[in-house]
Amino acid sequence: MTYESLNQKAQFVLILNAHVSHGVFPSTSNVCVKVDVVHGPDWTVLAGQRQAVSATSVRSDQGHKFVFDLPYHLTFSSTNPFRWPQLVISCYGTDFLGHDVSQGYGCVRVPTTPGSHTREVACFTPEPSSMFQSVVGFLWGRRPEFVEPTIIASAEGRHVTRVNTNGKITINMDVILKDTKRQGFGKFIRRFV
Amino acid sequence: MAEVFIIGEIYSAHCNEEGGLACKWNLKLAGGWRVLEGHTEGQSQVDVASIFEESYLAHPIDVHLITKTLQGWPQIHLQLWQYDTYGRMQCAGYGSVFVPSQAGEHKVECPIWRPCGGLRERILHRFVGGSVQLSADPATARVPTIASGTVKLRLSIITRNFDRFGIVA
Repeated sequence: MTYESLNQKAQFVLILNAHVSHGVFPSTSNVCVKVDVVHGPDWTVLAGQRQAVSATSVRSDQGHKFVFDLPYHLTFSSTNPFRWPQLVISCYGTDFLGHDVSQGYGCVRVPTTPGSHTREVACFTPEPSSMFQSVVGFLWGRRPEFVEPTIIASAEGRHVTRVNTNGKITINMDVILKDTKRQGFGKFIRRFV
Repeated sequence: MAEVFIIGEIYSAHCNEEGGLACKWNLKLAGGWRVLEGHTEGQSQVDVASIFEESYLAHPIDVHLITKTLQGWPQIHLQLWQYDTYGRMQCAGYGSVFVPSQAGEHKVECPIWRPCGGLRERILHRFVGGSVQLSADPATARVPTIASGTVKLRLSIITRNFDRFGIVA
């Protein structure tokens, strides 16, 4: 689809160049990051892979820092800003017995203003429902995890979840917008400081 | 008609007392404003926050509003709930913020307060737990209150057709 034909349909275009740069996980020995995207029904992905998986970063001797260096590029078109895209980050790792366990889930909104942005994303895991569950989970490597990680990008049913924040991930996002003015949207200028 | 999109999240919460936190929110709209899409209320997850100081709630807010008037700009009302070590839930406070009118991204920090009640309630709160809550239709004039925490929101505002009606926001 060319950009000219998009304009006739009253669409605007969002280009996202994201870079999952690093994270801080104080109580984890290794982390691997998966990125996914969630958006509203009026949005379509024109180019790019919806999912990306990073290398497994192992704890270094210096502190809690894990470097992921995962580029993530997507181009969207939409007629409606409602449910602006969100990136869902799932972190996986192995525990000391070699079991694959989830190390956290995090969610961040793609910035709505053009330019370069840095975001810190809190990553949390669901808490076991009882003390017994937590002991069994610890020994057998069956920690609670979300069947569908994209649930954390939605507001429904969230009040039933109890979580614990394990770490934080830093993402750099560059956003380019096209044709927003033509569709009657106000200036997209003010940004987080 | 002019349109306003509120896109954002309840990012984190912090309370002066220990325990997991959750936040309830609702959007208060005046007449003339209409919700086209999205939920105007919700309740976040509970973050027990054992490693970091703040509770991260990561609760998304997506609302598409349409308006005929600029009176009664939408307001977000927050209610902070605290889970103590015994698994009990108590109201940790209230707060409210106006939705920013300027298009773009805003980091909004909302201070939270709670009614502290009389001497009896304060002693009970200190030793037994539990807290005083507001009734459904509170008159807060001269009610004794105490600061109890903060909630951080990240709100992106997108406006549409404001130029056409000569609105500068």
